[in-house]
Amino acid sequence: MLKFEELHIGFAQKKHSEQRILFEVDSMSFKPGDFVAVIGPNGSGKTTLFNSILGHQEILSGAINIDGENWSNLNRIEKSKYLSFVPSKFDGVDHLSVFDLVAMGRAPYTNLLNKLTKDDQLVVQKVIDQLGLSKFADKNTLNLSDGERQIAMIGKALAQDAKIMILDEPTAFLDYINRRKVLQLLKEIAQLNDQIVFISSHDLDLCFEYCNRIIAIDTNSKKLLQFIEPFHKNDVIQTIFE
Amino acid sequence: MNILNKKYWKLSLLLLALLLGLIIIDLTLGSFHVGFLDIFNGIFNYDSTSTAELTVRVFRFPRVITAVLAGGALSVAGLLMQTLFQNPLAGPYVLGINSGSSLLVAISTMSSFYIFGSDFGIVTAAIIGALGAGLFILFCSVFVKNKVSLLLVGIMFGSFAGALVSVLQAYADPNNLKTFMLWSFGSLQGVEFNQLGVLAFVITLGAVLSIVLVKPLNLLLLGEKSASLLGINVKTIRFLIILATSILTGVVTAFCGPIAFVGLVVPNMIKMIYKTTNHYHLLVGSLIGGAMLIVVCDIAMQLLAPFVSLPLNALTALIGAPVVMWIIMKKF
Repeated sequence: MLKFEELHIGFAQKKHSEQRILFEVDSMSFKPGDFVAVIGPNGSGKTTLFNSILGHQEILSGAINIDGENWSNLNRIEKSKYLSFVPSKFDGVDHLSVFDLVAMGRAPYTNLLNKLTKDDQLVVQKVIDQLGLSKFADKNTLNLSDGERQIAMIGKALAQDAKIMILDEPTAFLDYINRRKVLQLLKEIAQLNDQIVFISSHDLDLCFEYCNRIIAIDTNSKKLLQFIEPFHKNDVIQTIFE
Repeated sequence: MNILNKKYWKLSLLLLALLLGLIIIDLTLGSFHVGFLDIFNGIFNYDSTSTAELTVRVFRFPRVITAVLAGGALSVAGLLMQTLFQNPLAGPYVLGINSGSSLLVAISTMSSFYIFGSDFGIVTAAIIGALGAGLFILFCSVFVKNKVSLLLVGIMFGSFAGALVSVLQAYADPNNLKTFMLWSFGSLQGVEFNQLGVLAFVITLGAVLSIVLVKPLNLLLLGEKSASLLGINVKTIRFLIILATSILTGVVTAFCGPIAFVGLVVPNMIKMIYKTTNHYHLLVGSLIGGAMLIVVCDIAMQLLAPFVSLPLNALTALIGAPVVMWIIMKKF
């Protein structure tokens, strides 16, 4: 269970700039199995919201609670067992195989020398099978197609075995078929693995089709709004984008 | 990721066997040929009345072991830099880490105070200089996101430190100046038998620190943000990587002078041969590969000695510069 309480998201005060609040969240909670799309115009703060949850950026005020624990009280390793992240684009690394990439997700669980135990190897193998990556397991991540690489990165996040998975515009660089494939995969992951999956996206139609919850940043009232199924496309567009 | 991966161990063993062969060849070379038995006796069963054994123990053994240690240390330092800055052209020499060492060694050998006169003093000065340069580059890397720009900053820093050294040279005592100039050509002859212990100890320290950093190094390949989300404290790790690099580069620079290109070339070769990103194997490979390169350089120097006396730095640059150009054409 993930809870936002009286959250203020934005940029903290710095030497040359004032504090800037992008939006606030009164109270919102998410349960395992939720597949949540974060939508909003460019510059409304989707990435800032993710960065604030991921800890790259401070939360201006309010709290994030996970299973009743205050998020900011957890240490780095504990957080990495709760939260996994997939960036919108990963270019691949020369000589890094898909297997090794997925295995990186086990890092929070391995010892100092990063040795995979039997259990770790089983988890990695299971993820590779689940995502249909067996054919590519030994392939260099540099030589994959964008779609394959994105799925391999999702595999890394899955191997991390975290309760929450955050994906920043996972479909931005994919073609139509791969977009549907990735979103279908994420929907299954949320339901089968009982994870909370967040994506940010500009693909409203696909979000409406695959996600069971939409949260939208309203730049007029500076609030985070939520919509629950069934979604009414025109309502959402009128509130957020007009 | 599995550290028990047999394929890589076999490769490492093969390289190690090659290295041992090269070491033995190198030990026989010098102003006159020495047989294998004399080499064995000179090292393990030393009799000071035999000229051959004396030569092996006093000149050749320290020379060859220094080559092994220096090559290994510089290559590991290069690997660490390349991963930290995610740049195949990074290395202790290009980023100005050597120059930092040189500057402090110049100050200590050429200043009339001579506070750092002892071995310990020069090693400490060189490590502090390397650490200073390393932290400076690290600081710049926070602002300079472009890979090429960071290299330029390193090169500029090197020039700046070089200019300061020139100023020092202008005012230096001629004897001190000569010592410094000889040092700056790079040499494997400067280390005596009883100093080998110090060199080996400090390099082991740096190597152990690097092995402990294997996991963060592997994860840094995905970028610093991703690494931090996998439980890595990036700030601490960055400092530790710079510290390990400084120890390794500093001690080698103190004893052998600023040796160029080894740290840049060897890790790239090893990555091509091993085809892995697991730093556990890359570290072992770089350690052995670096040793091989310098031993080969030394063999070349010994063979050419009757005709022409090459400084070590000229040889490493002759091998290194073309490799760098090749990497630039391939990856940039």
